[in-house]
Amino acid sequence: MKLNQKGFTIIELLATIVIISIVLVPLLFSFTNSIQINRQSLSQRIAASVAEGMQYSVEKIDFADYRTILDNAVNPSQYFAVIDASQCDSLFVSSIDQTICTAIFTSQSANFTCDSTMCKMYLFNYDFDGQYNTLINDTNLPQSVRNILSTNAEIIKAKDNPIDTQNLIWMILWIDYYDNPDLSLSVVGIIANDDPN
Amino acid sequence: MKQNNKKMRSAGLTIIELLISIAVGSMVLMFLMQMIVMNVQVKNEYEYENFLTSQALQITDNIRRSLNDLQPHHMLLETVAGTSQTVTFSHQYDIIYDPILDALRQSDENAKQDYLIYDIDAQTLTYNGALLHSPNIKILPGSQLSIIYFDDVNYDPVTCTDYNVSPADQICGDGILVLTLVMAVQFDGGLGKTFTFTTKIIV
Repeated sequence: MKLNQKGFTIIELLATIVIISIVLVPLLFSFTNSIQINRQSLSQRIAASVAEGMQYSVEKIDFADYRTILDNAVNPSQYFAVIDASQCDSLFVSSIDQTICTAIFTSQSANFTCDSTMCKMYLFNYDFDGQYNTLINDTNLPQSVRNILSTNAEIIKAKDNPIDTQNLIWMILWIDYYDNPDLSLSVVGIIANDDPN
Repeated sequence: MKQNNKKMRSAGLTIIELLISIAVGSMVLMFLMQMIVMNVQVKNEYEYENFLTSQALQITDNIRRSLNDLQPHHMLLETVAGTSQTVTFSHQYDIIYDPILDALRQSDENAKQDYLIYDIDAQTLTYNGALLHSPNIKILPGSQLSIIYFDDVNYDPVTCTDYNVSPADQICGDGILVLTLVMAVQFDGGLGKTFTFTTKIIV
């Protein structure tokens, strides 16, 4: 039997090293990427928890106050109102309402803290003032809010069959939970007047 | 000569070639190893922090959902220095089954109270006796429960009976419960790195 006495050439060795590197580096990057994705999903979970807390707290402020804020904000070029932490003192009259509003819009959970740029509440009349199509194309609204407006089945049903335009207000909580404009959370709900009479 | 060269090549690497390949290979492998080690370290640190964050979130969600089952009427914090902190949530009713009505109804007589207890000695947080976090989690000294009331009124259980008024007016004794939790995982060899989580629950 003739033994193969040929060894590796330097070119072969270097080629092997290059191939190993080419295989390993993307693997390591994908590993880092998966950590990043995990972090994003945890942030989203925290944002969902904050949104839930905010939703529960919204009713601590009188419906009449929301009604006034929305009525004052709506004009022929804007069909929604927006509330954030920076506006609590100017939008609400009573000091308790101001305190509650500030508490809602500076909500904090597991070290995620809302501020006026990260957490906002968008209010819309129940019938969208007949301007539904304008609203879903209004670039003053964040993309995820417009997505909710255009896809939420209850909203679509309501704009087609408005039942009570004075005692119901659509509320969309918008939370920008990650340093990426595409990653924001929007949660829809209705603020109802408990005592319509 | 040409034939000689050919013969020499078939013998394998020269010492220079070997040294160069070892040097280049070492550099590349060192870089790759560093990346692997760094990745594993980051992964472990992240998983640890992730676990604690999830636990902090679980504590918050459990308290919030328990409270929202029955809107609490009032909360009160009692601190026994160095031993425990107890937040008592007072409800004005409980939901009970009424056999006469064959339905669930609010019962004022059975007004419920819930207790959130931070046991400083045991380093645990419980809600009505149930542990709110994983048993291997320790709530360390430096943790604190505190309350910020929305209004300055003193809670009077006699006059503060407003659950029949609109929810927006039920601010008698309402406020923000602030949980500052210094948490770490208990391993066999001791405690892991501590993380502090601050959460506000509007009650």
